[in-house]
Amino acid sequence: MHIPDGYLGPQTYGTAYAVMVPIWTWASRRVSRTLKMRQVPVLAMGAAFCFLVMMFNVPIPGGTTGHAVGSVLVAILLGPWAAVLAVSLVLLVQALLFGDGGITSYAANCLNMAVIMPFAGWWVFRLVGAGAPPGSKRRWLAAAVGGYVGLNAAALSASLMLGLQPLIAHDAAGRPLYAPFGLSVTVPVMMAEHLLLFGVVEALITASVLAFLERTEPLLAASSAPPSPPLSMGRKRLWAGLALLAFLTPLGILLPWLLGSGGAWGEWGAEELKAMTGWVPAGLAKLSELWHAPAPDYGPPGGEGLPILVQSVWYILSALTGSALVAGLVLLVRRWLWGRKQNDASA
Amino acid sequence: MLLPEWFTIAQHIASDVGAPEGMAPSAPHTRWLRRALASLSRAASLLMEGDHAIERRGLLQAINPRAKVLGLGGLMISASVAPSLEGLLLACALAALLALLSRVPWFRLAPAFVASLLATFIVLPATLNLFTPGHPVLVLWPLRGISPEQPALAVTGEGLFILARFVLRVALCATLALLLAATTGTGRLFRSLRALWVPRLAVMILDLMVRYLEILLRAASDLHLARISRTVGDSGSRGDRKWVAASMGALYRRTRVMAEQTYRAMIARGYSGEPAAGPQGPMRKRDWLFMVLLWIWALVIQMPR
Repeated sequence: MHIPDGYLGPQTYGTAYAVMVPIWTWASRRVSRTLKMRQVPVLAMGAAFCFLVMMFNVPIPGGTTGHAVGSVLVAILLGPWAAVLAVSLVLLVQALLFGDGGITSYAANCLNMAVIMPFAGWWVFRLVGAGAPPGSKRRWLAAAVGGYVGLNAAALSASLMLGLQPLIAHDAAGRPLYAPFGLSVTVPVMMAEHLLLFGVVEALITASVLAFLERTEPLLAASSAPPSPPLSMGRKRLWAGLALLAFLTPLGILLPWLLGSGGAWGEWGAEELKAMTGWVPAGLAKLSELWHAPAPDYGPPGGEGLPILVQSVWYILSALTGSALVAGLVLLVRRWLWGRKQNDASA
Repeated sequence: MLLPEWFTIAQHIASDVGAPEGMAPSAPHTRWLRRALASLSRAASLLMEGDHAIERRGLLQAINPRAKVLGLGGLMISASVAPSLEGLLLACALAALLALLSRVPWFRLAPAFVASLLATFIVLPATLNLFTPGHPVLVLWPLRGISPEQPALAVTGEGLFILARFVLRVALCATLALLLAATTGTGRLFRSLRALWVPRLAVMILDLMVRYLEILLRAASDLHLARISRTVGDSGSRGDRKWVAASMGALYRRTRVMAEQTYRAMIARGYSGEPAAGPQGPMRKRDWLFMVLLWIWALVIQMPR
């Protein structure tokens, strides 16, 4: 995932430096506040450890091997801001001494592997492992999912950076100046290998090392990776957030209306399809008659020609009703499961 | 250069050539371990031999690292925006001249060659009219084309131009970065980053990291050697993965112990939280001259069309 020099144009690597400088400054302050004077050797060792993680070959099912990046593991063990600094230092040493990565693309690599990857992975780890005690399987599962999501988020960002080059950097004849393949090539190619292979390696390593440390060195693991607190979002904030999202839902019809674009690709109804192609396949026509929704397309039945503002009000009402129905359903399932658990315990 | 015994043994085992008597025989199920050991050995070798390379007397070795960072950095930025092949070739000529005058061993520039090969491999499909329409110079498949305008699958002149410009730029940037590393001691190289406003604390952490990396690389090599020596049959990929996780866990434990020991040693030596980055040396006339000449060259390579 290391992008070498020459693959990214100045528009991209310059922007990446502009984004990374404040992040490095903020990370230094955060780490200084938490680690105090001990930060120097801890960060140096954390960076050296991260460097070594990248050098270990990991056997994976199928007879091949891969290697992990380790950013999410370092984020879980040292905290995400320390991971930003440690992985940035590793990438600098790799670029300067080993010619791996690049100098101009250094900030872009840092953005992918030292910011997006550890933060995405760490947040997922906290979310999935919320409230799980150290040594529990859910915590290891959270680490695996965090590693997988973190690596794929970084790969997606790298593929977007590479795929944008032909669009934003070309000469007078229209020939690409840097990486020549567009998003239609870079995103599927990079994501396929990371979703199927490298993500699995990252997940295995992140979970296995955390499990090993929690089993053999519980004190060290507890000091390195404290248990994630249970999610404690206040109910008022939760309802306020849901209401805000509900009021924003009309954007889905307002923006296409303002931009003059059509509906979502592939979500055509039978009538829309007939208007576009002149005919409707028999099977589609038959199946589309099976069920008539009480509020088709989030509006009243037969309300296709309504003004856009009325449609927007219907969208908000649909969002509120839908959210209430889903919340009620979840509460019912929870009560049913809880009741069964209580009965089992009393029996 | 005389390498330590543990290192040469590790290299022999990794390459499976000339392994000392009594060491583990070659086996297919330890191949992945040998590959990892080889890459660990290469990294350790680069770290250890890096400082010896600068003992050679040459042009770049005599220049202040700050002038090198600013001069070569300017040339690199210019190369990254140079639109013409002629400009990139001019910059490549200068890079080759600097390597010759600095007597840089060619193996130190090998990563640039590898990066160029990789870039060629990646961009090769872009030479086809499938991705880059244009004048066909080599027809690969005359029977089936892309469109009525392009009735055959062919390599285009425009595609070859894109490939040449891309590979030259990648090779040039990698060579300039490696020239900087190969002619500057690790500690001096990191201190010279202060010229780019890198904080003193970061320089100090970098310095510490590289020093302890040598120790940790040796520890990782020992772990791999021990595993190769004790592996008799195939332990299966699940067992191998468990070993990898346990090794990483052991290394992490060691890094935490070393961090604590290092902190105590720093306190004992009077460390009070103020980072020290060491002296950088004054800029002399020849350093200024070198830097300005590189900047002029950086402007020159933007000229040709």
